[in-house]
Amino acid sequence: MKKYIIISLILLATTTLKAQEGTSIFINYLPSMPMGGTADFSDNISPRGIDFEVERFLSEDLSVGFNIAWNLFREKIPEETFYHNDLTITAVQFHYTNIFPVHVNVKKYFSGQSDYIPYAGFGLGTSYNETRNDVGIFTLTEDKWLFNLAPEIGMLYDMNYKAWLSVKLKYNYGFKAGDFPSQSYLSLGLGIGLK
Amino acid sequence: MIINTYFKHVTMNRKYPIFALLLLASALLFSCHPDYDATVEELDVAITQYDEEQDFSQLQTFYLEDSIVYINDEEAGSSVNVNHSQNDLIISLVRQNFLDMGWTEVTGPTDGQIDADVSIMLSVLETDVNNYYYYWWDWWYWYPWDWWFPWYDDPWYPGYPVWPIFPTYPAQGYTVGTLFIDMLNMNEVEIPSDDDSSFKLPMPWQGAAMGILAGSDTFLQQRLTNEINQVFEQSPYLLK
Repeated sequence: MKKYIIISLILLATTTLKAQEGTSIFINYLPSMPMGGTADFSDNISPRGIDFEVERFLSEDLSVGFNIAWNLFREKIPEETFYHNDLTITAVQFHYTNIFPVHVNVKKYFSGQSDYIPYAGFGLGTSYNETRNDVGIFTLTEDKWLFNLAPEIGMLYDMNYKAWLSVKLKYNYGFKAGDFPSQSYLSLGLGIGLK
Repeated sequence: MIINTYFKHVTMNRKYPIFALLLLASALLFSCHPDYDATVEELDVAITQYDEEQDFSQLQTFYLEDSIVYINDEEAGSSVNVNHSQNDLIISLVRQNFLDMGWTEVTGPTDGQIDADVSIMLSVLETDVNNYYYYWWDWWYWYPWDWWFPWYDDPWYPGYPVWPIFPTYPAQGYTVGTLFIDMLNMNEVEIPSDDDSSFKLPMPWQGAAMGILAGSDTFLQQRLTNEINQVFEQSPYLLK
């Protein structure tokens, strides 16, 4: 049922609606591969990710925009002994990393006559990061806002006068803050945009 | 009038795609429930804490009471069913682990005094999973100290490890059982004859085995055995 609702919404959005002139709105499915500090805690490729983006075209080949995203990484650690404060604990651990980046971005488009428009972009902003370790019925949680950047390359397909299809590779990096480690991951974005 | 109509048209169109996309985003988010489905066994935990300044080589003999103090959760009412059927298993496992690690057992009080370096206190806390944190936090408040020291009305409670964390509820409606294995250093116990602040109950070592009380007796016994053994396995400083 949920699938049909999603498909219906996409069809509805692409065939009957129109965004403001010069502005496009994108939504991307964002499966991601954890790297660095993110992989140290939750080292599995994650199918759970999404971003929402609004782009304002300043000219045909330049846009500025706003992007908000969510990614969840998780890993089950088989039973092992670890230490927390002065406690020695043996248990199975369930690790979760939730990352919510919020960026302002700039994109440069290399548009020609083709319907395929490659671009390169750069996002700068912050991210809310939460790591969670579920142990038995307890949970250990740490969270931090990190300074964040996200370069990306991608391609838009000019589907019709109302909609884009988009594919992108996006690298996300949140800088270490205090004891909270840096967070990084590489995302493959597949999405749709409304002109 | 025409201009107003135009703007109204633009505004409405502007709203709907955002709304549609947000709905789509919500549908995707909520269709991806992040939690693992942990089995009951995977929620078992063995925890130990010890006093790093304690020289365990000075402690050679132990006394183990042949009974277990049960503390149940009055607020959980009928959802908690204290089960004493595992008493023998728990006591024998704890005894065997101490003996295997080279400790010598002192079997009974002499003239009302326990002539052992340490006394091992066993207690079981059973509570509905929703109330667990509350009880854990105030553990020493619930412990029936007057059972141990009936002559002393208002003892000072040593601090029990408190996790700076909050519970999750992966198993609503289940009962959590925790076996506490507490080592009291009898050489350093100070019990004043009257009410003053010099009451002292040094705990050089504490262990806990916790888990959801579910499954058959055999399953419970197997998990209890694993967890009790693990509590000792992760405490190599107790080895003689």
